[in-house]
Amino acid sequence: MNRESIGVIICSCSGRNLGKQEIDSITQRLSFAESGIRNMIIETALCGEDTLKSLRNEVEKKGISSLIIAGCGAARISGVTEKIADALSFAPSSILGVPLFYSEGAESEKNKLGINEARVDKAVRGISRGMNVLTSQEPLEIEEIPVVQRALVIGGGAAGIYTADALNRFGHETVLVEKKDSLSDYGIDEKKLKDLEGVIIHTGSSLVSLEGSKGNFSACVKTPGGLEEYQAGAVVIASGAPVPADPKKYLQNRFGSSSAVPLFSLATAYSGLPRIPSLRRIGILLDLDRDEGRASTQMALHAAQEIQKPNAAEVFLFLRDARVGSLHLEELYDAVRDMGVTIVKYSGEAKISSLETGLQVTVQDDGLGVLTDYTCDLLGISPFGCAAEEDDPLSEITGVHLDDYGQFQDNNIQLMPVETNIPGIFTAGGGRGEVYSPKVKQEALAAAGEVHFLLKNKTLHLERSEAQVDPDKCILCLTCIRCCPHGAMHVNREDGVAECSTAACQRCGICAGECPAKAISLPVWTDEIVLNQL
Amino acid sequence: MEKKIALYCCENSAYKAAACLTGPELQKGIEIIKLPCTGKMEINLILKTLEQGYAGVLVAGCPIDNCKYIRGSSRAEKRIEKTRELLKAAGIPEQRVRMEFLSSVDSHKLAGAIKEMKQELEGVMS
Amino acid sequence: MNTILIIGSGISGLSAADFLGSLGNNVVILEKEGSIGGKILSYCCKATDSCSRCGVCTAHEKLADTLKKKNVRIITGTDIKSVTNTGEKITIKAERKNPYIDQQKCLDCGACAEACPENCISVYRRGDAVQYIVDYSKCRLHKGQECDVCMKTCPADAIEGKAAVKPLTLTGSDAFIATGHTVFDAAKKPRYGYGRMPNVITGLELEEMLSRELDFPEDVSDVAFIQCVGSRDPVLGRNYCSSVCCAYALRMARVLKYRKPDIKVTVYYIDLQAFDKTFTRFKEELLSLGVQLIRGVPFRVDELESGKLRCMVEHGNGDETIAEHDKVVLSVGMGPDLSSGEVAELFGLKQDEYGFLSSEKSNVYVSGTCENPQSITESIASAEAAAVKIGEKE
Repeated sequence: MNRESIGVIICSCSGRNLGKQEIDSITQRLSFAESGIRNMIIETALCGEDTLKSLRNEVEKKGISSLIIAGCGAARISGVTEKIADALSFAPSSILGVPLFYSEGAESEKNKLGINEARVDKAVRGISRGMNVLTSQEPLEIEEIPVVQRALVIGGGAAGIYTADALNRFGHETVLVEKKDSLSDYGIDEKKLKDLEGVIIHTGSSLVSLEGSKGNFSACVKTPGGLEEYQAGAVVIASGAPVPADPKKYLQNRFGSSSAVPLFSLATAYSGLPRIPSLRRIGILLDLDRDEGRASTQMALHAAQEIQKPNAAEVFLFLRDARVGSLHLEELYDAVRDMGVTIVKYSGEAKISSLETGLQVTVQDDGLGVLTDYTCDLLGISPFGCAAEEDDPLSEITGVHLDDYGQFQDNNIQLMPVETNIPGIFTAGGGRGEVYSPKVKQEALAAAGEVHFLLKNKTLHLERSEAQVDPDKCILCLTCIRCCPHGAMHVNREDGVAECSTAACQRCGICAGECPAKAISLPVWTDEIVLNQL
Repeated sequence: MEKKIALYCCENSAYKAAACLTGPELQKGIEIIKLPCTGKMEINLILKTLEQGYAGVLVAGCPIDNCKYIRGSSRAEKRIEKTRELLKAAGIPEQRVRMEFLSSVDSHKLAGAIKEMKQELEGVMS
Repeated sequence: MNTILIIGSGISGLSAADFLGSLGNNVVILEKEGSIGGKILSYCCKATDSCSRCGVCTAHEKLADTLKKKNVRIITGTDIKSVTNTGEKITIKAERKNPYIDQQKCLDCGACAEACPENCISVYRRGDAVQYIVDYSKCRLHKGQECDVCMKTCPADAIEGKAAVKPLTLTGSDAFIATGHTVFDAAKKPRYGYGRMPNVITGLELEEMLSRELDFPEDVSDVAFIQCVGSRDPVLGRNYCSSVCCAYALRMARVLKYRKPDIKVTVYYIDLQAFDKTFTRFKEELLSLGVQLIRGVPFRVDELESGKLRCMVEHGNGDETIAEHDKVVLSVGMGPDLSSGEVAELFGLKQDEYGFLSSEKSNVYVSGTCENPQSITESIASAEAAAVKIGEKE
């Protein structure tokens, strides 16, 4: 960029951050320097509305296209930069900050002339170096990426259905992919949702590949009728909790007994048992491989209510803790206890062994304080407590990370509730770890809201500030591809170089930090720009 | 130049926490440098900083599992650890480089780390 | 575009404002306190070197982001006097306390705080969020005297106010109720000694303490948390689990251990709520740090002559656990905000047996902890879910 187009603003924050003498000293030193500053603007309250208006006029008049701002480095300046960029229609990267923190200019540091020399020094150095950096830089282009006006929802359970329904109501074209032969009805409270009129639904189908990035994904879906290709602006993964694919078979194999059944079919299994004169003992087990949540406790309590019958069946509910963190679960818990259901709270792990008939559950019973054996004719085990059999292939296909329990979405608060490490891909419900129906519904709607934001801008305006790979230095070691958390790097085999997608790149610089050949740099975070702050 | 600590902050957490630091004993002798993510921190930046006469480099980023870019601060943790080993091998006190993990609302954790580092540096630089 | 009136500037209200504002609606948030953000201002970060996903940092980011939004106006110090709702239009008459500092115009120069003769303006500065808060109980203008020092010193004209209050009338198409919660008053369980014994504090007080950096004094070497105080209690008419207390207690237990590895930390509980999607890992970490998890909540806390606090738990098999602690933290549960009854009346909302709010009106929405006890992340999701319903209407 040429010097004429660079503006330097020094803001005194109403004289509180920089005194008049200090500003005079700075301008004096800069005019003698080789910095060649053509446009110097002194402000007292840069972030004020009126100031921005007059600044805009001045910027237009003088043909300024980039700025160096020396002023308060307080937290607000991060918002101020955006505000200014917005007001002037600048890309944020055309604004270089020289932060002068308030407390660096403590009164006691000022000399007799009312000048804090070190501070003035820092300002002058920062501005001069800033000039060097900006003059050696080319302005960044803005790329316009059209956002494909279609959403892809993977999973036809409660989460997927609520998301697709909400997107449909927003008026977005939505494709719903479900691997089973029909959509689920568990956890849906409005029957009409099942119609999802207008949503393209593929059952018995699965996603086999996903390319591209936010705003422009290319998906390939395997359907009973063949492969379907879809372009989509955003994707929502609502694939459900990572439970064993066939819980009944899994439990039978694992415990070598047909008396171990999935909890959701316990009532049916019980009613299939022949009547006997003595009391049947029916067990319900939660928290088998991992601690479960409210949905499991609710399911267990409902099953207990259904089965517990005086003189016919007594129910033993084994759990580590009753997860009752929802307004009416405590009342349900009390009611179940009042019915005579025995609730055994245990510590550590439950051991289950098969007997000639039935099963034996051995637990460290916290109520009795000892390891206790319980025999059960039938044991209903919650599938949500079973460890996932294998990683969901969707993770490999989409690049979305799994957490320690095979659930989509890293266990990272910055992503919650519904984001993932891949920009443009969202997740909700059991797939990410929340199975409790009221919360699943809320997450699904929140995910639909996020997708709506993405799709309602028909075009993404992205500055070409993504990571740049120097083809002369790149050795195609694939480190950057492996370490990019956002899946933004890919290989250009033809040119023998790694390339970065401008839509997916988050400009974090992890690739630049990792590259062993130092072939990667971020245009707005070069070593010069970083060290310029010293 | 006077011995200062260069405080490299990721702009998502530590920079915001640093901006809230009050008290001259915290601000004196500290230069704040913004990074997009501590994952961008490299050994050469640390060495250049020390070369310029800074007493120490304190890299402050998001807690593990809190990084906005998922893996940045854990990558930085490994790199800083490596740098410390290299410094030690080169006969330079490893206390001159350190990493601290804190969220944007945890200014006092940063204040504590700065105080500690100043004390440690006084011990090794004298 | 519509104007949406949001009542309450806690995390739920802010999330809704962020969402609806981004869709292009005009949003006005009415907040009764002088500060913006609700309870999150009192909470501490619960990270050690690793995050515990409490959400306090993201909540502050949401606060800072919403303050920057052009079409969101936040009016603090506001009491709602009347509400008329035709089903298409809502009119709210309110009174806003003076002097009023518009946080969105404020330049954070500090002039008003320095100049105020009664020293009643304090600065809240955490993360990206900065706000100047007036203590109306000390302010001369609000008490009816003449004073305009702060207004005169402000270079941004961000402070205004003539009389003690200013009447406001606001209209919008929809109302979004996010009035939040009030924690259980631990004094209502006198056997725990809160209010009588200085070393018995509540979970909220511990949060405030840890957020302001104050650690326990050196001589505190044994801390106990008692869960379910004011929750799961039919006698008190609060027979529900507040769902977040296990989360905050266990996270803070971990922080205490991290700051002072020698400190002894005990958590007395009934059932541990699984607040994290990899909860088992979190529990394992706690146990490996040496935090004692004891199933069984003490019936009472006794203050001994030595100053120590004794807790006794009787287990199902007749065994007893007796321990003496330096500090006892009562994990108090969430209840509907004290203003909920008033809010329900003003907006025609329903209240359940505990006082939590719900709406049957087509243009009034309820979300966050005023609806039921929930965490920060859940409040964000519930606000967005409700906001989506408004968004769909357009």
